[in-house]
Amino acid sequence: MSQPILSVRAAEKALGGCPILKGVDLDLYCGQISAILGPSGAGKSTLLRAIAGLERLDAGQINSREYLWNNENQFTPAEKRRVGVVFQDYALFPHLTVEKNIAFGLKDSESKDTAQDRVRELIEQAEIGAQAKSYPHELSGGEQQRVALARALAPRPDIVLLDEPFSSLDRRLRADLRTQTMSAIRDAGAAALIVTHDADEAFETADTLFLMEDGRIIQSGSPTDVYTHPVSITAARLLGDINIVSGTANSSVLDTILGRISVPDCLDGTKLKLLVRPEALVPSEVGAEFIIDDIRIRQGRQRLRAIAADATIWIAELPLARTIKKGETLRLALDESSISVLPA
Amino acid sequence: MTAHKSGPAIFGSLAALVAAGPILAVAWVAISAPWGDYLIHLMHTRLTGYVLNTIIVTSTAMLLAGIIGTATGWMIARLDFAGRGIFAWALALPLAVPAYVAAYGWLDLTQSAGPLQTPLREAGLPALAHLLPVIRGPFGAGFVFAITLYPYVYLIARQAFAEQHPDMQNAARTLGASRWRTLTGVTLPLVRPALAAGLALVAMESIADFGAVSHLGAPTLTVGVVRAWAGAGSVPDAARLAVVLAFFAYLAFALERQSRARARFGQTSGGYRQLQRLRLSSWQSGVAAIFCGIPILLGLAIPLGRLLYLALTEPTARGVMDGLTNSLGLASITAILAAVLGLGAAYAIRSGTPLGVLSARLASLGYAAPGAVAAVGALVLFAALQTVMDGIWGGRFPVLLSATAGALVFAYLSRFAAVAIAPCEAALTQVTHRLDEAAKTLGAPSRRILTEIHWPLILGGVGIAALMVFVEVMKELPATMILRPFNTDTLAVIAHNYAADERLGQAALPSLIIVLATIPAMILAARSLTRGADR
Repeated sequence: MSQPILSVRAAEKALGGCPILKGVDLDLYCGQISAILGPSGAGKSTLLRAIAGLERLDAGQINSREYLWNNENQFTPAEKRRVGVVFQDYALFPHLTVEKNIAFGLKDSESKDTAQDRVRELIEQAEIGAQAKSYPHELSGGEQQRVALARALAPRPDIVLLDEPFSSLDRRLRADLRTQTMSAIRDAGAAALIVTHDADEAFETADTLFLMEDGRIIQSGSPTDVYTHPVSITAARLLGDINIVSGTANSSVLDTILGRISVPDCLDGTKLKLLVRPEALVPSEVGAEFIIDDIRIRQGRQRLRAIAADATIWIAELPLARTIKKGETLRLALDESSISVLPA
Repeated sequence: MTAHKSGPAIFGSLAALVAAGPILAVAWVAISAPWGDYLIHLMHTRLTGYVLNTIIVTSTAMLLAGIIGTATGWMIARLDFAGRGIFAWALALPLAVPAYVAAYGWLDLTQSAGPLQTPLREAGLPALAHLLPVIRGPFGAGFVFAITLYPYVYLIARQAFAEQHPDMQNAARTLGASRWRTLTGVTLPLVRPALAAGLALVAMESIADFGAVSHLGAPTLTVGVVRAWAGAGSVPDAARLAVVLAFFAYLAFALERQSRARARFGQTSGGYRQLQRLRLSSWQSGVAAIFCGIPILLGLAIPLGRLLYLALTEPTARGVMDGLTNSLGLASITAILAAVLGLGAAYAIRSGTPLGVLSARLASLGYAAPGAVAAVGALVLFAALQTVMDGIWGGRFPVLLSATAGALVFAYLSRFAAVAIAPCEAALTQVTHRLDEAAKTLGAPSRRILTEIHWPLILGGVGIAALMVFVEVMKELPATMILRPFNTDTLAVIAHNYAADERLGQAALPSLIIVLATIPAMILAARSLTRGADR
């Protein structure tokens, strides 16, 4: 992989005496979309604001290419960094039309004609031509979001930051806009960082996923990898439901109600936790018996609450194709390729 | 602290100093200066009367204004009837009539030699003429304040009624409450804090008035302060009375602040839904229109009509043009300075630094100080300054106090800078920190953020602030009486002097000009204050 366009090292920041960032490392690459996922209060927005130059770090460093943006002695303010930001509430200038909002960042860098061309191009791209002369309060939520993105992209920044950009939109609109937004960012070729607390959103948008919890990045990698092989229970829970089994390994084997799992022999004698995603439970003739206690339909799949012989409760997810009735007995086995074993 | 953050705090401190200075000076003189004979004499004779009058006038005004304001506010917010749209703003208009102007008109109409009693007496019915009430004394003054100040209650009440979530009533109705129980058990209790805030404003204005109570023969503490200075020439005695006066004013002010804080619990949470106004039948419409018309007649049409008649039939007063020039000049200068101070204080609040917020909040205390108190405070401060300057310059320093309008403008500012803070603060809330940040990330330097983001967004609010102060200064009387430079009479002073000489015909024209200058500003300010409440 090429040189990162932005790197954050050991970033620390306290607000009002309360530590928010506790040593964060993060790299962004051109043409890549990254997402930070974490619960509220994890420090996501603070990290984003530090990258934008709206907060100064207490310790650590931020570099962009060969430029030092922030360390103990040096700080480049936001207006000198030219990082594009789409704010959570969009922060459109209420007294300026759509056109003028988009043109705001172009003023001194380009000549008037090229600036006008650029604005026209962005308005076309965002499909807001009819509203070019409208004021922000006359726009719908989705239109406001598109204007905010166009405004951020107008000066052709190398880095675009998006703070919960879809959180105030309704569900269906959100999916449409997400696709549109992502393709606009990909076209721009910038490095993008999206802050979100919605796991589905993170999966759908990101090439690289950063999981953040309590001021630290607890895991990063491709979305699939992070989902199927979480490094901790906390990381696992951030991305969705998870079944947890504890046990002790013996001669490279962990005995569970679902059968034997092979583990590296160095783990023999240690207490382990087995993390199983609901999708990793598959129907099988040789599986263990479960009584189905509850069935819910979710996004075209069925989610089952299953009670095992030892009375433990499991969550399984199966395609809708198979009809299952409440109270039915079902045999389920483990798909070993998508489970994680962690020391307890 | 960076320069960016300390700048607003300095402005805030300045505003706080201007506002709090006179009051502190008054308190200091009241405590430290030797007790004069006048005050001891006063305590044996008039002080009880002053206090009693203050209490009667204020409570009468609050009671009547409360009834008028609540009823009209509820009708405009909840009922739909012919002419409702016009009444909605016309009901606020009496606020443009200074209480002393209404007092001139009403006393002239109802006095025994007036146009109501005279015909009856000439028709040989003196007993009937005697039965007609004369608007004078503390109850008369209370009536005059009620009909000119009820819009404070009306505007706040209307907004509170309109913003109440319709489901509040709906919930009560589904629980089996009758319309009457819904009104008395749910609707009214929820707006009570808002009503209290409006009533507190009525009280503050009544306590601070000089012109109406002195004309109607109900001398309150404010009259006492002015007399102590103008009649007995004693600053310490004026200061001691001013302290008692300030006590009453701050009592009302505390009530207002507390009520505003509590008014939040009556506000809606969650989605706003348009309240369905109850449509009235045609005869009900007529009754509602008459009911809403009465306060406008009492507060605006009748007193102004009488003054207009007098102005047209009696010879014109001399010096009105000069008075107009003086009034406009003083009002403009004060309005501009107050807008600057108010904006500075609003930025101080926005900066969020403890010093900035504290000083801006202190500055808003100034509004509670009656004009007479502010004026006596300014007297003390400028006298002290004169002494210091004379000491440095060896007695040849120009006379600050009596020869220039400096002290007067200072007193105006200490009272009205607070009036300017609220609209500036409201305008600045539009300029969220998020907008600053968005502009920064787009590469805009601070100067550009100020000129292209802040200024266009706050211009309207700052204009309203200046306008409101302008109106207040045009109407102001007690501070002007005490501090005006020699030979510099404002319209209010000219009107008062003629009225004091029983020459109402000459007082009429300057009074009408004050109202005329006030009405357009009033309409603008009232519309901006209740924007959104009357959709």
